[in-house]
Formats: sequence, structure tokens, C-alpha cells
Amino acid sequence: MRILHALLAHYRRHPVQAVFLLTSIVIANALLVGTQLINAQARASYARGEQLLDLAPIGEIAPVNPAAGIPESDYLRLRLAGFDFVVPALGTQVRTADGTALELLAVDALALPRAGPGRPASAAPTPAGGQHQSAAFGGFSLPPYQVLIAPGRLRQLGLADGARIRLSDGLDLPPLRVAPDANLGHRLMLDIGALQSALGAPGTLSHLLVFPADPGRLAALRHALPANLHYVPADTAPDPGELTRSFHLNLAAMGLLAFVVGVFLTFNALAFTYTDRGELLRRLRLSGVSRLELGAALIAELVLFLGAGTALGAWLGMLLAALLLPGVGRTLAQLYEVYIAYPDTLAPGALWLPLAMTATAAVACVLHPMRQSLSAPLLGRAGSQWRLSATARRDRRGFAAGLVLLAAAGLAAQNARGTGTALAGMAALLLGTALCLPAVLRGLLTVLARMVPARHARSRWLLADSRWLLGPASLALMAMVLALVANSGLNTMIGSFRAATADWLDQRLAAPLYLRDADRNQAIDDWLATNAPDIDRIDRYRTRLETRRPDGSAVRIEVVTLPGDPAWSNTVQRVDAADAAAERFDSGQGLYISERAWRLDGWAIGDTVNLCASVPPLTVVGIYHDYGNPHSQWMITPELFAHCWPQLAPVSSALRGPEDTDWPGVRLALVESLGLAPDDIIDQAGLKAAGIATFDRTFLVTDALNLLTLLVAGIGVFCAVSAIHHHRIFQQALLASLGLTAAERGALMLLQWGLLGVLALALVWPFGMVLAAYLASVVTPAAFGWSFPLRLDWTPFARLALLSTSSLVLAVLWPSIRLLRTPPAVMLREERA
Amino acid sequence: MKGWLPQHGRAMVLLAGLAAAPFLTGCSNPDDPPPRDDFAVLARAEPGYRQARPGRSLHFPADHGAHPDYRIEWWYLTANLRDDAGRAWGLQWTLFRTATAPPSARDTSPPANAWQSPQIYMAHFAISTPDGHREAQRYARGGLHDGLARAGANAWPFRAWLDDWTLASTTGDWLPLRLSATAHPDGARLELDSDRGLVLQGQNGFSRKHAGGGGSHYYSHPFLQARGELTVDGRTIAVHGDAWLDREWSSQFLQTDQAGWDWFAVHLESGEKLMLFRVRPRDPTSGSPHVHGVLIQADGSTRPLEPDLIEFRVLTRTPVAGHELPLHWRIRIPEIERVFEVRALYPDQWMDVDFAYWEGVVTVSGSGPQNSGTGYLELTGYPRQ
Repeated sequence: MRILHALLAHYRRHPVQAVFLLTSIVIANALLVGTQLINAQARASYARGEQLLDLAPIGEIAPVNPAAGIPESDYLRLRLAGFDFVVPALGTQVRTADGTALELLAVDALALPRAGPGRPASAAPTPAGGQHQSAAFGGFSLPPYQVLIAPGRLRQLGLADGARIRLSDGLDLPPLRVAPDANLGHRLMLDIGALQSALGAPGTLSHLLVFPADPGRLAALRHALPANLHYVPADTAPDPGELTRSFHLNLAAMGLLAFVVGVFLTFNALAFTYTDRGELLRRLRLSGVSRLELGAALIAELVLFLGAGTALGAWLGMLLAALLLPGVGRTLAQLYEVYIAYPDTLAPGALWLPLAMTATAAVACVLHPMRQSLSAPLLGRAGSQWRLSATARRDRRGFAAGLVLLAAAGLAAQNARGTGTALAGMAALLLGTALCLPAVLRGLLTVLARMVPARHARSRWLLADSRWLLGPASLALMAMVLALVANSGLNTMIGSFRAATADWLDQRLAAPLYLRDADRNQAIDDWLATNAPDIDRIDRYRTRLETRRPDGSAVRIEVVTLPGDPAWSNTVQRVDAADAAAERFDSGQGLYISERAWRLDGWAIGDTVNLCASVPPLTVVGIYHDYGNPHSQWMITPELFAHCWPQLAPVSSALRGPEDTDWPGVRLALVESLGLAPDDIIDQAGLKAAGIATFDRTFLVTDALNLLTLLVAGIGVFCAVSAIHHHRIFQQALLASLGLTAAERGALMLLQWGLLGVLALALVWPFGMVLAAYLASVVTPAAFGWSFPLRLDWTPFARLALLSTSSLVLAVLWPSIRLLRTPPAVMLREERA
Repeated sequence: MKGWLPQHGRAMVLLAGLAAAPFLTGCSNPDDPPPRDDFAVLARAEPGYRQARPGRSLHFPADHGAHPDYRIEWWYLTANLRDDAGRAWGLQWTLFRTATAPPSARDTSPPANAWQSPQIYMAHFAISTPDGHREAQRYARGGLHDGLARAGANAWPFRAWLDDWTLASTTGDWLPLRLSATAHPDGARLELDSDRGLVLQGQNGFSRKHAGGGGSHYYSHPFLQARGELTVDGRTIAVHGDAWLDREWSSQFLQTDQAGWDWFAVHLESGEKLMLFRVRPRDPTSGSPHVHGVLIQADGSTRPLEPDLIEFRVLTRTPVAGHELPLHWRIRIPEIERVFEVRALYPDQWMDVDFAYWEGVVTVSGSGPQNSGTGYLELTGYPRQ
């Protein structure tokens, strides 16, 4: 205990070291815990499946034509025929008066199933079913109604329990009511009558939820469905876990990156506290403390820091997860139509992995410096830990290891098929870069030193001292470079991807106006024939097809149409195409597949696929970019589509006409003369904005985590540099005794760190580019099935350089002020003490 | 005062459903006081509804249908059945209607769509079998969607239904009726007929509830002969027996100081029908149970019984679903010289619905056909042990 006391007394003199060590452990933990918790929460939601309160539908009845709703009389007939496990639903997205998108799900709670005869309530899958039914009578189903909302979503919207949301058309939704246990996630739930009333759309159902029933009754239900409806079992819907796997892997990767940065900093901090206490440890040993006792005391100290650091890190991680979860939920809802729950308490089970990782990493970090400290010679003052020869040797070894990792990254890039391999390659690239850094910096400093003439003694000293500085500072610099490379790489990748998406949207959206009210097509055609004969209306069809991948696994594919007119076929940006692809496509012998279908599902040019029974197998003749679509897609001619699905009406149509057409005028005229809802006519700009918004949402959380990683790296570097600098007293004293003024010494220090920073940044730029290229050509295609050309942009680097330089300058200046004010004699005395 | 209590019991179940609304997980408002109890809801006086009054004569077939201007209404059928092997079965089918807004409010703010109909229905369907009890519950709103409604009650031709649970006349006349209901894997299909007519309860179909004059409109058909089949676990059993239909509608019931009731509807072998009930006070020290009884003779004429002379004695209490229930009684009615034991045929006839109660088949035994028979017993308001 006395020994531990003596060891800890050191931190009273140098509190910054304790703060540094603690911060490093917290950094290693917080983001890792946060991302792990978010992923665990999402996984738990996927495992539970689609839920309505605590009831789990096994599928849904959907209109065959997705653009058409379900007539209420169809639902009534099913209930009157005894299908009591069918519940009406109206799912829709609305915009609030301030433009926020809300996903609403309305149901008739009175129609929810409960335990029945032969299914005693105690054995029923939903013991609480009865509660839902009685609840149906309450505020939920009766005026003034309620909109149930998860607490997380309420916070996200910045609203209070009981508030009313005003929609963009000026109508108010019923008052909000927080429902913590209702598994609502991102969605808001309300009574079907209340929603129809709020939307001014009586008689509208979007789908019918189907709850568990025995196979015979389910078969009877399918048989009883009218031709306009079909049953979609929940298990043929894309598995949300599979659909969103890449997204979660990316999150996990961000967490791991922060963890690695933290581990580097922790190692650095530990090494520091041990070297710095070399003299203390030696004296303790001389006073009779055994190596074992000292080791035990050091381990006790480590456990103390580790306990405090992980507790704080885990707490911050939980805070972070709770903060980010609604954002993640929004992305998943809007991108994948997957809804996760926002619980108030996060699954504590997800904490074990990060904690075990932290403990393992801490042991790995402490082994080397502790062994070195304990085995230091007892007699004679220990030499500097940072002997040039030793650190140079260490850096050479690091460089060799880095090269091996970079080679592994190259290998992974060549062979990456899945997101896991791609991310492992990325990790190797990042670590390899970081490990190579000290040796490269050392080499650059040596080259610089050779270039400086011998008469510039001060410069030469500066360079030589900088090389020495690489010993203690290299780990901090590595952590910084790691974070900077990751940040710059991600920024470049996201920027390039966004630009590619914008270009693609420009090309894809060839028509100035799009209409989505298919019921009014005849009226629109009549109006166009009379008022604007130059304008063509082209129908766009879409359906979803359950099929099998080349490897035999089940997949759901979107099938869309592409009109034969060259004006339209040019809107498809091809990744690759077979010979005479356009002719084969137009003649109905071939189809195009989206890049995702090629990369992730395994179809390739020349493969044949079955579209429907009445059409012979089709050959894949081209692959096209389909950015932002989380589903794989096939594109066929409208003629083939009509052949396979004659009953399907178009989901939307596009209007095209001469260039000088007054499109806003046409739009207004359509709205006014035909009474079309303004929302049903979307112009090109609106669609592009929606496309880009989808894109931005995809990377919203990645962006946030990226910034957080950078921030923690900044804090870490600041701590590291401060700690190093506190222990440069002797050098300062020497310089002062050589006659250098405080200002000169200050300038020298800034110059020295500036030099290291600039050299490190010089590494960040090329490696950031390499990482961006890796993300663009390996990780994103493997994760999402989208590839895009890389575009170089200097602005993020300028921002980064500014940020990291300021962090360094601050870190150098803060302890320097004290040093510069201290008289040289005092410094020398302090150092000897 | 004839036979009003069982109807209170039935009304309770529906109204309790309404009162329980704030209990939804995640929807409950801590500011909402929980309902005091089922009776508090039954005793609630809500302005704006049409009130049951003595002197209003009942008109048929119009009164077979729904009375939307009254707050509460039900169609309540119980049947004591036997299969070909002589085993006893029971069936309960009930359709409750409640209005969520008085007629005046409906006029000032009419519903914007069919879902907002102020008429809400609840139905219970139960089969008592030699191997156990099965019960089901459904809710529906009464709104019309393109001419179709999930639940309702038409007077002519008579049809009361919720989804595929239906009680309806099969010809142009009131009788015969057909009951059909399916709650997989169980179901029932019964033809109900009688050569005797309806029985108007109370004073010409007005059943007084309070000294102050409140009450309900009420008629019964206790003489229905049932024949058909029950389906249990997918197996069909041919059955026949006696059935009893009660119809009642009102807007306010009961007093706030009452806790629950014991209700007996008995088909005696003599061809007579007997109905008895007692409403237990919330505080047994503050008063005695409110008792009511009526003997319906084989020709359909009624003989009210003197409440003070009916003697109820619980012989055994049986634990069922966490409640200690009196499932074995001795009842003496010296006024008509009857003494019999009433015993639950199966203890487990627990209605595990939103607001649970015990309702099931009983056997009645005593000396001679006037003291023997079968029937239904309803027990409500017993606290959980």
C-alpha cells in the first residue's frame, strides 16, 4: 500500500500525466462502447422482428400494384369471413410544417389479435394481447386520439409529451403520448381513423398486417384474397440484419478505429509514466522493495486507472449511444425501411466485449514498459529510455511491421469480396501507415539534417533534437496520423461519392416532371392532348420479385422499366455492358442489372435469369450504377414487364417535351385543372434534392463518428504533447544556459513541433488518398454495391492541417509558458531533483 | 325489478373495458386515475344519452336491433347442451355495444370516416367442454365501410354480428335463429327455435334498478331449444339442449357501493325457468346483498319472488385463477317450496378476457324435477387472493 502511495504521489506533482493516461483509456472505450451498444440494440431489434407493440406480424397483405391502396371493403370481407388475424394498417410518410419527415403507422387497435379458445392466455405468444385490446378503447382509439412515440424519437424531434405536430398542410396530428415499451423506434403510431382524418384521406389502407395463424388458415387466407392483393410473408422480406450488415460493420469499424487510437495513446501514456518514474522506481528497489512487490504495486495502479477510465469511458459510450441511436434509427428507417427500437436503457450485455478488449489492450500496453522499468539496472542512474539508437531500432522494426501490414492491405484490396475482408484490409492500411510513420519521419529529418550546412548549428541541433523527440512522441504522432488519415480518407471518399451521386442523378432524372398518381393517367393524357400535345407521358413500372441468387440463396429484387427511346436509355450510367447490349435489351432478349446485383448478389454479364414463367430466360447484358438504392435491381423493357405482370398499373410516369416548355406552368396547370395533389407532381429538382438527402443520411452517423474520432485524437495528442513537453526541462535549461532567450526558445519549440506536424501531415495526405481510394473501390462496393470514381479535393486537408496544427501549437504552448518563465538555474535544480 | 342484475354484470364487462383504457403499456397517463372498479363505470351518469324509462313499450322487430342513442346494450346467449353420449357442454355468446359519444355530440362533430364511428362492439365466445374451458374475445367498431360493417345489429331481418360471429334469424321471422362463431380451432353452429314467445322482464320490459327510477329496457327468450354442433380442437360434436337469450339496453346502471354479483339462470326439469341474483355490497358490514328472483313458468308467465325469503348458502369455495370462488351453493326458496344444490359442472369456466369473470355451466340437484336441472352461473367482483 505504501509503495502504491509512493507511486501515485508522482501524479500529484504531474497531474497532467494522470489526466493523460485516464483520457487515453476513456478514448479507447467511449466510442467503442457507443458503437457496440448501437449495433447490439439494432441486432436485438432485428432479432425480435417487425413488431407492433409486443405483437409480431408474420407477414402482410399488400396491393399487387404498389401505387394502389387496399380498398377497405376488401379488408372488411376478410374479417367477416373469419380471418381475425388480419389487421388494417396505413403506413405513410408525412412532412411537418418545419419540413421534418415523419414515418407514421396507423392501425385499428380494436382489430389486434388476442389469445382465443384453445389458446389459453397463459400459453399464448402474447400474454399482453388483452391489454392492447382494452387499450384500444382508450385515448388511442377515441377522440381526441393520441400519437404514440418512443421517448428517443420525442427527444430527437425536440417535442414534449402532449404536444401536437403540425403537418406541412397546416393540419394538426393528435397529441403525442410517450410509449416507452411499445417498440416504436423511429415510427409514430396512431389510430387509423385519426390518421385518415388528419390526412383528409378516408377509405385508405396501405397494407394489412397478418398475425400468426395455423398453416391451414393462412392457406385459406391466401386463397380468399382478391386478385388485387397478395400475401407477403415476413420471412421472404429482406432480413433487416442482412440488409443493414454493412452499415453496422461501418459503425463497428469507426468504433474500432477510435479504440486503436486510444490504445496507441494509452501505450504512450503508460510508457511515459514509467520512464518518468525510473528514478523513483530505482530508489524504491534500493530501499528494499522487491521486484515482485513493485510489480504488484504497478499492476494495482494500472487496475485503478483502468477501472476509473473504463467506467468513465463506458458511461460516455452509453451516453453517446443513447444520443446517436435516434440518428441511426432515422438512417435505417429512411434508407432501409427498417425500424429499430429506441430503448431508455441499453443492453448492458454489449458492454462485455469492449471491456474485455480494453483490459486485454491494457495488459498488452503495459507489458513492455513495465518489464523495462522493473528490469532497469539498480546501480547508477538509469540512462535515458529514449536513447536514439534504441528508438531508431524500434522505429525500424515498426516500419518493417508497417510494410507487412500495407502489403496485407494490398492483398485484401485485390481479393476483398465481403465487407469484413474489406474492412480488415482498411485496418491493415491504417495501422501500417501509423507504424511506418516514425521511421519515415526519422528518415526525412536525417535527409533534412544533411541538407542543413554545418554553420547553422542551431538548425542542426533542432533537427537532431527532433529526431530524439521522435522517441517519446512517435506514438502520439502515430495516433494523430491514424485519426487524420482516417478522417481525410473518409472525407475524400464521401465527397467523391456525393459528387458521383449528383452526376448520376443528373443523368438519371432526364424528365422535368414526374407524376405519381397513376389513377389519373387517362385524365392527364386527355389534358396533355388538348393543352400540350408536344409533351409525352411515359409510364414507369416497378415491382418486387422473390428470386434466387446464382448461389441459390433467396433474395428480393426490384424490377423496373426503361423505355426503349434513346432519350431514356441514355439515362442509364453503365458500369459494364456486353456487345450490342442496347439492341439486345430493346429487343427484350436481355436485361440490365444494378451494380449491387452484380457485386453483392453474384450475377454477371452473360448470366441468364428467370423473370417470370411466361418469358424465356433473359441474359444479363449490362450493369448500371444505382447509387443510394439498398436493394438490388433489374431493368427491363416496359413490354417485358407488361408480359410478366399485365395486372400491374404504372407506379409513376414522367413527362418530357421540347426544351422551351414552361414546366412550372405545366405543373401548375395540371394541379389546377385536374385537381392533382401538389405532392403527386415532383419536379426534377425535387427528386434530385430527395436523392441527395438520402445520400447524406447514409453517411450522417459515419460523419458524426468520424468527427468524434478526430476530436478524441486531438485531445489525445494534446495530452501526449503536453506530457512530453513537461519533461523537456533539462533541454530548456541547457538552451537557456547557452544564452537563448525565452522568446527564442519558444520559437524553437514551436518550430520543432511544427516541423514534426508538417512532416506527419505530409504523410497524411498521400495515405489519406490511398485510404479514400480503398474505401471507394474496395469497402463501399463490398458493403453497399456502389462504386464511383475518386475526386481529389484539397479543402478537407486544409481544414485538417489547421485543426491538427492548432492542436499541436496549443499543446506545446501551454506547458511552455511555465517553462519559459522559469529561470534556468531552477530548471537545472528541478531536473536534478 | 325482475332480472336486472345479470345484465349489470354483463354490462360491467364491456364498460370495464372502456374504463381500463389507460392501462395500455406505454400509453397510460399517470395523471389518469385508475377506474375505481367495474361498478363505478356502470354507475357513471353521462349526460346526452337517451335514458331508459318505464312506460315505453317495446316494439318488435325494431327492438331486436341496436339502440345507438342508449349508451350500453347487449345480446347475451347461453346454452346448456348435451352430446349423443350424454356429456354436458356449455356455450356462451355475447355481443356488447357501447356508444363513445352521446347523440348530441355526434350531431355537432360527425365522424370524418368509418373508423370514427361512436359505436364500439365487443364479443365474447366461450365453450365449456368436459376437457376444459375455451374463451375468445373480439372488438370492432360499428362504422360502415362501403356498405360493410365489422359489427352491428340489424332489427329486420335480425342479425347481430362481429366479424364471423353471428346470431341471426334464418327466415323472414324472428325465430328460428342461427348462431355461428369460429375461434380456431374451436367453433359453434347452433339452430335455436322455440314454440313459446319472448318474456318481457320487469314492468312490461322496463327493469327498474334504483328506487329513484333508473333502469333498463329488457326482454329475454329463456325457452330456446338448441341443436347443432360444437367444434373443439377441430373435432365436431353434435349437441342439443336449452338456450337462454337476454336483451337489454340502457344508459346508466348500478350504485357505487356494490362490489359484484352471483347470478343464476336455471332450466328446471319441470319446464320452469328460474333466475336469481344477489349483488354483494362493497362493504359487507354496511349492508346486505341486494337480492332478486323470478320464476318463469312453463307457459311463459312470470312470478316475482320475495327477495328476503331467498336463502343463499355457499357450501364450498374453490380456487380458480387466483380467486376463491363459490362454486357450490345450497339455495332455499320457501315461498315456492324449492331447495336445491347448485354445483359448477367444471370448476375451470374462467373467462380469461380483458376483465375476467367466471361464467359457466352448473347442475342443479334436489328432489324432483322442480328442484333439478341445469343452468348458467355468473360470478363477478371476487378479489384476487
